[in-house]
Amino acid sequence: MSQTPWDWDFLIHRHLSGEELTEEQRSALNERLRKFPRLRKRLAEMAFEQTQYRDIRGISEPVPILILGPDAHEPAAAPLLKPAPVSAPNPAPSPAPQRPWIVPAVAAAACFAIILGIVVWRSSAPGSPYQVLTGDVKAEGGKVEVSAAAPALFRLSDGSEAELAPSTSAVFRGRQGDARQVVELNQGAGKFKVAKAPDSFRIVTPLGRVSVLGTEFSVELRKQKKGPPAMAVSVSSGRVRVESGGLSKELGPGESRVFGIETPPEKRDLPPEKKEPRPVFNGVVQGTVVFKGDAHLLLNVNRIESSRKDSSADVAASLPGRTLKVSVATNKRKDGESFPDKVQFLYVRKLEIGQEVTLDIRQIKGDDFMIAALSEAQAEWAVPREDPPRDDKNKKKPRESEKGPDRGDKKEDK
Amino acid sequence: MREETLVKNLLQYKRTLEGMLFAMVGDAAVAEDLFQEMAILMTRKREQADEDCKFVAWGRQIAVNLVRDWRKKLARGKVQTLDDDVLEAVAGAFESAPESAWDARREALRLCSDNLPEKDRLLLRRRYEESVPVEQLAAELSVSRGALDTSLYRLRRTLHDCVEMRLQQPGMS
Repeated sequence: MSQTPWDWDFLIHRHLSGEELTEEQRSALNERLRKFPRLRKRLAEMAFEQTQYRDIRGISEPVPILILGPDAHEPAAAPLLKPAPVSAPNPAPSPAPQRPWIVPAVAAAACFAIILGIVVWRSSAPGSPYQVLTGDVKAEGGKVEVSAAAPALFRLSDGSEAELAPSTSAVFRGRQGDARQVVELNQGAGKFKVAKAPDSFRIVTPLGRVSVLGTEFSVELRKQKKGPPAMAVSVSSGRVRVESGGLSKELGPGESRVFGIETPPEKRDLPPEKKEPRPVFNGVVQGTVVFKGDAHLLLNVNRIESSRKDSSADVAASLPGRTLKVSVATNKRKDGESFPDKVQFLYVRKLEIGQEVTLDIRQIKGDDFMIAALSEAQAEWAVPREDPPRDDKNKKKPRESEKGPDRGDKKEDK
Repeated sequence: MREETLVKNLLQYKRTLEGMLFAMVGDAAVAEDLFQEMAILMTRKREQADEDCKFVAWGRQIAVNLVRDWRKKLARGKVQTLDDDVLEAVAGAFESAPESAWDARREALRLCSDNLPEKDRLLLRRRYEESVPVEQLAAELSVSRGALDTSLYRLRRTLHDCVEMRLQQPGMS
């Protein structure tokens, strides 16, 4: 019996295109790869070439992110998101020059900046995290309000550009934690051309936040006549992570989802559904911080210190050695907006990569956890006594005032 | 390993390690994310590595473990192309060539892609630079998904053959 004459290159091509192979193809390819180093080399070469297509053809071109206003009707179509040619030369001494040949080095260096917790921009460019290129803008620190007459164009510290629509209110936070750029969009709309880099570009809206993990996506803040506003996220290509209402959801190419519209009304109107109990872990773990964002950290679990009654022993046993995403708990205000717990936020911010911590955590889903509570010592460590003018004992329950647009971060702008 | 050595090595071998991850997972965005995790892990474990260790070999061990972890986290039912035992062998293929060979391949690829017809360059750009999904690209070009996939495959082979030919030329490899 002769074997089926497979086109191995084609099977490799399909694998590298993220396509599923038939079981027969998959099995044949694996068998062949096991036996023939030459085919393994071929796969390595083809994979290498594909990863290089982007670099050699100009990965540094800005990738626009479009935030559509409530009146916009355009779908998240590719032409809208098509990378625009690099326009004017950057007048500011930007740390992200738009020259293709330098990008791999910059990308790797930027990646490393996250690892080592170095805030490159802050140290290299004191002053505002943005620059107004055109338009009439009322600015106060990182907070900007665009006049009702015309849009305004901004250049951000990483070389990205933001065009905010008239009457838009936003805060340019600059680099925060693992995000090279954080833009809070409180009202209005805008178009964003995001310079591509390994660390994320984040847009924070009252309904949640969207982080660029790969390349292109659009966000639309929808005002509804009835009910709360909603945020529609549509991914054109690459991947984004959307965190909204305490949930974290990754969307891939072609996927779209509306956040903040479907769940709250349904949950209020309908009786609570009886769900089968899901095995979870809630308890105290000891682990090492391996990565850290502004409101989450990745914790490599060394051991379980204690489990609560509602924890599954199996889940607990599976945790040591795993890396968990532990997010800061969120609190809700009366108007329905959620915001991170301030003390937990400061605690996570203060942690160093490599630091060993003991944390009381609660499982949300999969490897996503949330800090259940900080110990008194941890809270005190997070907020030193001289820092806030309030009594330390009050720190565990942050108040609404902390959500002010100019909180804390304002000093970073200096 | 000292911090500066680690940074230097990461800069030097970034492409190879990213290619290695991509070869194993078949998803560029996932490979990028895993590379970041990999760099973090290497930073954490740099003290365990010798100053003159084989960096790509060390990276391979970490990369294979990361990919295995990532696969465990995937939704059940999602079939991965490569079997678990094949992952390591595929990753090992990146060690078989010196870094200079990968650099030469990259340069050859650049030259070859410059010589492609504009139409093909545009297709490559849309698919691989801008990561436009095949379905969407097929709709834009008014062709079937299968036809587009075949075109991309042929284009990739053309480029690969061109690269191989260039690498045979004196002074390229």
